[in-house]
Amino acid sequence: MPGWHDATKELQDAGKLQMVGIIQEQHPDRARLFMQWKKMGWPILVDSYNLLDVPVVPITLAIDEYGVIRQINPPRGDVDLLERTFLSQTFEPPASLAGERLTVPDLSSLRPPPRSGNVEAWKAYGDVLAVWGGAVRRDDAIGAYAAAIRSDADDAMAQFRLAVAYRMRYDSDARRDGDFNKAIEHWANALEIDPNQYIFRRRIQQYGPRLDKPYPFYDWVNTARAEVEARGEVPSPLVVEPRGAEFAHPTESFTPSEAPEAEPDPRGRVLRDESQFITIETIAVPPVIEPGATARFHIVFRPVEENLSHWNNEAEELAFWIDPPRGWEVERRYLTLPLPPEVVSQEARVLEVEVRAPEGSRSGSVTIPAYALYYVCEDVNGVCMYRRQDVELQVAVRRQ
Amino acid sequence: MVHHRKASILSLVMILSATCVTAVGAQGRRAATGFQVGQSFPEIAFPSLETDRPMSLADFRGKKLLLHVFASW
Repeated sequence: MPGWHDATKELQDAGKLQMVGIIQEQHPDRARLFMQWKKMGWPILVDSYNLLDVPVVPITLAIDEYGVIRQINPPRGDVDLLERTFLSQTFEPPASLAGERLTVPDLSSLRPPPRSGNVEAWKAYGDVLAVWGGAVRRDDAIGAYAAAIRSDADDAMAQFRLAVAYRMRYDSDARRDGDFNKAIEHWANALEIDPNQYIFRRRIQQYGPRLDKPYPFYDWVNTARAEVEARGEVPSPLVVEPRGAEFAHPTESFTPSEAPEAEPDPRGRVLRDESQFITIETIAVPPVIEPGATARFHIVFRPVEENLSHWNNEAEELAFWIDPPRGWEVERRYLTLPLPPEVVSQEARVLEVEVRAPEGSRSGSVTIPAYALYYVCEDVNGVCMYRRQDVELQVAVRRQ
Repeated sequence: MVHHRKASILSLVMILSATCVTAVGAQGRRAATGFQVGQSFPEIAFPSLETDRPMSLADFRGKKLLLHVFASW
């Protein structure tokens, strides 16, 4: 796309061609940084929920002055051809020409479909709430898409959009336990229903294991920021920082660490975090794998605000030990997280690690025992302690 | 005469072949992208990345567009 931008710059400047983008990303702010980095200032429309129902990106369309598609994926960057076959052509208006400017629907007068409403009615209701209701109506959008799925569980797009809404809530202050897991579950459902839908596939791959990645998704972000700053500009801020899987490069083989790893609490003598100063959420991506395949676990640690819990950063770093069942492989059994410079802090911390199921796995749910060790304080100036919390990493295996 | 008929048949075959290839190509592209040449672009409003206000392609009526449906990854 930057290629098209550069190749058509003169035509754009002369007013002969208008560039427009529609982004199909979960986090549109990342596209804003991308546009700034590539110095592409044209209008961008946001379609995180894929209302367009496109199965793949990128798609380039040459659209005439009446809104009619004249070319699909014209040869990339071939401006001479585009001028001859599109820009210099005169097109007739279609028999019926829509074109009223569309406005935001009046959400105050919006009513849900009857309880007996079909999947399309619930999906349409959810679309309006999801796209135009913002964070205020996101729960309603989630309810509408869930109702759509109750009406027809095989509606792949309802599954996909429900997942998008869950992940958006997960990334917001209104996050609820399980939101990320539900997002992954419904994206996986959507992909199982329609395995040819690459937009569905990419959402899972964004968070999934390296063996399944087509490319690193957001490895360009740091380069973009550096180059934008070098130009004397302030990089467009990101609402959610990409991390872990979103930076990870694809790999063709699963290679567990061969370095000797010593278990930090083999006899289980460290006191358990009975007061739940820290909550631990685990998400397997994908949630169901075939024998021999890999899953990537996201392990999220959050100090509990009601308990005034804080990380104690003057002590040792958070440690995580995984004890895989026989035949299962794990990238590393012993993982740690570096400490931030502050003496105490309250941020969520995330570890990511990949596991591989044995070739001979049977179908069924598998629990991988693990535990975390961390230093936590009751309050900013409260008592600090060293605690252990046992964790179960859950993933399902399904033989085809 | 025979040559002329052969040439006609050959032309017909070529035209039919070209038509089939074109038709298959168009269908393939439609299946691959969800769009079809000659179809009006769907009238859907989306939030603008910069302003959050609704925008649709109707906002650009009267201009020739190169529309990119994309992701930054």
